[in-house]
Amino acid sequence: MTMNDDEDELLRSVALKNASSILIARQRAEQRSEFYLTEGQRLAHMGSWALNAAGFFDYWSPELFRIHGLDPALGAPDLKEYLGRVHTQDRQVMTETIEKMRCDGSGCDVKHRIVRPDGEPRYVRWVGVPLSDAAASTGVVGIAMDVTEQEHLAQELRRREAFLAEAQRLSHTGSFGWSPSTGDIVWSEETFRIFQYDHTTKPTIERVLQRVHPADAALVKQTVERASQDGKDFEHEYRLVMPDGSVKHVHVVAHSAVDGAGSLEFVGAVMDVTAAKRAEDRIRHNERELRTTLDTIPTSVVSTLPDGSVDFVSQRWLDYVGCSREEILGWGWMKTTHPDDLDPVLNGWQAARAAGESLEIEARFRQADGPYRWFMNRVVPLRDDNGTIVKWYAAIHDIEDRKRAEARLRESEEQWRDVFENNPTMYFIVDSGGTVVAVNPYGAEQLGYEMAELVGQEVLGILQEPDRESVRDNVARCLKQLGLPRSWEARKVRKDGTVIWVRETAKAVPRANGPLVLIACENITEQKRAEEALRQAQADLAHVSRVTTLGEMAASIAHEVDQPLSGVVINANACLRFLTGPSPNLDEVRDGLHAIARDGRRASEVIARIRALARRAQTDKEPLDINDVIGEVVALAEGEARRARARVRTELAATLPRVLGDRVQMQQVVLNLLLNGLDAMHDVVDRPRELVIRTEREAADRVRVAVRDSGSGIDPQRAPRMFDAFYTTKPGGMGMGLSISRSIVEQHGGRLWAVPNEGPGTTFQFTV
Amino acid sequence: VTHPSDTRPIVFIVDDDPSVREALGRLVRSADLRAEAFASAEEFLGLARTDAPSCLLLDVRLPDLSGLDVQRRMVDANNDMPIVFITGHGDIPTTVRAMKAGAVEFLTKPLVDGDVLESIRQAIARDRAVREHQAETAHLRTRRASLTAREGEIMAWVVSGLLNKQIAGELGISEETVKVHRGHVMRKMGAGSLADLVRMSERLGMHRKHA
Repeated sequence: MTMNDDEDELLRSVALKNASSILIARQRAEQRSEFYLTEGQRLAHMGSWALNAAGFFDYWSPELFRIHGLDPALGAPDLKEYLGRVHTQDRQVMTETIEKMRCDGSGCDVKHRIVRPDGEPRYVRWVGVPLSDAAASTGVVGIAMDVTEQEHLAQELRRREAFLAEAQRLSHTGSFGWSPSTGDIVWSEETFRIFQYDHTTKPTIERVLQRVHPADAALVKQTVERASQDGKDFEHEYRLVMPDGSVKHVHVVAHSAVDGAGSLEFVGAVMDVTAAKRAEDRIRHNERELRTTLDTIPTSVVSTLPDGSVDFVSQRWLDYVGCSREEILGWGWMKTTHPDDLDPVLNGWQAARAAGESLEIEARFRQADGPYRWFMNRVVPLRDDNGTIVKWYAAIHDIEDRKRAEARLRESEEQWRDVFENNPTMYFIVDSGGTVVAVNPYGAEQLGYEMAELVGQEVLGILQEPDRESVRDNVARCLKQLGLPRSWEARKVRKDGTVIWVRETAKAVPRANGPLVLIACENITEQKRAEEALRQAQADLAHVSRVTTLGEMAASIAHEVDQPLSGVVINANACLRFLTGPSPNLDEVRDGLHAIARDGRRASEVIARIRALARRAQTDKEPLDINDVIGEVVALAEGEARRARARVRTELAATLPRVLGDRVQMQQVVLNLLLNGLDAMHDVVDRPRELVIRTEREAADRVRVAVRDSGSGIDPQRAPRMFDAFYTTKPGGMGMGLSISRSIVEQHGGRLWAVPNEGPGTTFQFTV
Repeated sequence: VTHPSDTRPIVFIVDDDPSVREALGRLVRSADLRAEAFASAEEFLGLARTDAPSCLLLDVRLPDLSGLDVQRRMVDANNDMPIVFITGHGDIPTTVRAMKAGAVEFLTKPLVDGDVLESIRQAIARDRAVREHQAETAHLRTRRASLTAREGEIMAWVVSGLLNKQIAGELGISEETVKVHRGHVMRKMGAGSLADLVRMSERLGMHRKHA
């Protein structure tokens, strides 16, 4: 069993002092009463004993009995009995110690354990001093102290010291004591470790300064010097440079005290805060980085306490709202919120906090210079290990542009939808395969279908059979030339089987999944009907006009028929006369019969022309040789020309493209112009009455017909009205000729106009 | 084709319509007459006159000249060939004017062959008569031209109904001289009687003298 040296020393001296005082007491036994001794021993928890050379206890003090828990009435135990009470682990040592004292006359000082009869163990210290008379050992006297309490304290102290050392080591905190007057410094084990000195080294101020970072040395020195002078508590932090070059941060705290001798003394702690410093640096660095990040990203950051009050706002947000941090913190942010958005935001915020759930909410906040902008606020909770919310973080993102774009998009979408849904135009969206992708309500309604019935159908399926091919072609062309609009007319079949005429305008547009064809479709059934009625009316009018013209020409037409008929009759009679005479002239008869056949044909041709012109024919366009048309008209009007004593001449271009037209109507136009020309020359006596009809190529597929007279010309004042219906300068005229001619020409996609000749007369011309 | 030896009457046809022109030609030939057809008036007017009895079948309406114009031009040229006008229905003003100007006949279309030939016959007969009359007049003129100035003077007094003695008194010559001249006149003029001579003087357009 080892003991702390200092304490050992102390205890030993105390024991000796006690022992000597016991001895003195015994020596003065006669003068001191037994009572005092006993009482003193009891108070000191100290018994005394005497062992004679024979190996028997001469004496046990009452206290000794009490220590051992033995009855004094039974007298001092014998040696064997005593050793039986010693703890088995200490019994051998005790046996040897007593034997040695008895035989050698030596003293002893031994601590051992005994066990009381009731089983309680006690620590007991024996200190014996040999008694000798004339060098002969006569026995040993000694004391026995119950040191159980002390032993427990010592053990506790040892344990605490171990704890302290361990704590210092673990917390990197060493302790020191410093007496400025003597220069003595005491370091704990950990302090040595911190300064990296062997613990055999004597700590001095110089040794400390030797380790201090050169940059901090002056400050440390100054602090130490001031402390040694003013004796005040100090606390400072500095860096150490270790022999291997590494740097340590230490934090030193010292309290001043005055020792028993009245001199100044510092007791303090040295904390190795390198790790903390590094962590702090790292945190500071991270914080700086974070702050830079926060100020850089286009998002503002706000954090709030669990109660919802704002405790942090990034600079960016402050710059935006143009407020100081103090104005915004807590609930000050509310005054920058748009009044209309405040309630939703507060309600949402409260609900999120109540549920402990993150929140996304859009709201407008006022910019420093006035206008509000839209922001998206994303708020998320931060929870500790127990799941308790310790903070809320909000990211505030400017979505004004997005909002505006959305609004514009919505507006345009609404406009488009409005047009699509409410416009009285049928809209179809068709994919490249010809399948209806969408149709507007009006379109479905016009066709008598539900929208759902049309979607997915073939778009050609709702067209009348004969129109499908051309529409298919048109759609294919649209798809070939994206973005180029095409227009066509076609007939659509309604669900109930009725047919409507439509004009469709279509355009193919590229889409992610392939091009789509947008078709705007207008119901032109009424228009078609009106056009048809107008066309019919015009055709009727043209017919009436034609018949009227023929009526006006009746005399000359009759003449045209009379001529060949006269020829026939006269020839026939001449032939008869040649046959019935005394010598029939057969040559004359043959020639006569030929002439009869020819004149008969001629008469029937005239009648055929008249009949053709008088016919109420449906407009039927066919490719025409305009020269043929003119030839027929000139033949028909030969009589008129003769009656007007005018010459009709033609200058027809040899090769003309065929033009698409209605033969009868074209003849009517030429006839009208021809008769007009003849009329215009009615009063001419001083020059030949000549009418020239000329044709020439106008374009690749167009022809120009000019009818030139040598008449009196057109009165410039009357020229503007010349093509009006019912306008006439002729006494018997109806005033329909030019008007009808013009409408016929225009129906044929041409133009009819008049120009004065360089010489006398006028030239009417038209293209077709 | 006209042969110089052929003395048959000639029918001139002017019509711009080939059917009618040709048919009329054939009809004329079937009546054993000669036909000369023209498509325009100018062609016809430019033609030399013929000695044979003839007539003109003229269409009133021609491209170049009207029938009345042609008639006027012929009168101007002392061409008294009879004209048969061919006209359409109801051209009454033209008809009246033409008839006044001496047209023989008006035929309206459609033409009836009988009418045509009858008109032609009449026209030719008339032409023949005119020609005979003209030939007779020409003969008288020749005889009249053979008279001396005194004989001519005496003839004028004779046809005026004056007696020889009265004539002698007027001229201041003897009655016997008048008788001699009168005998020459009667013989030179080929007159059988005073009435003959008077008729001759009328044909010659001589004015009667009044004492």
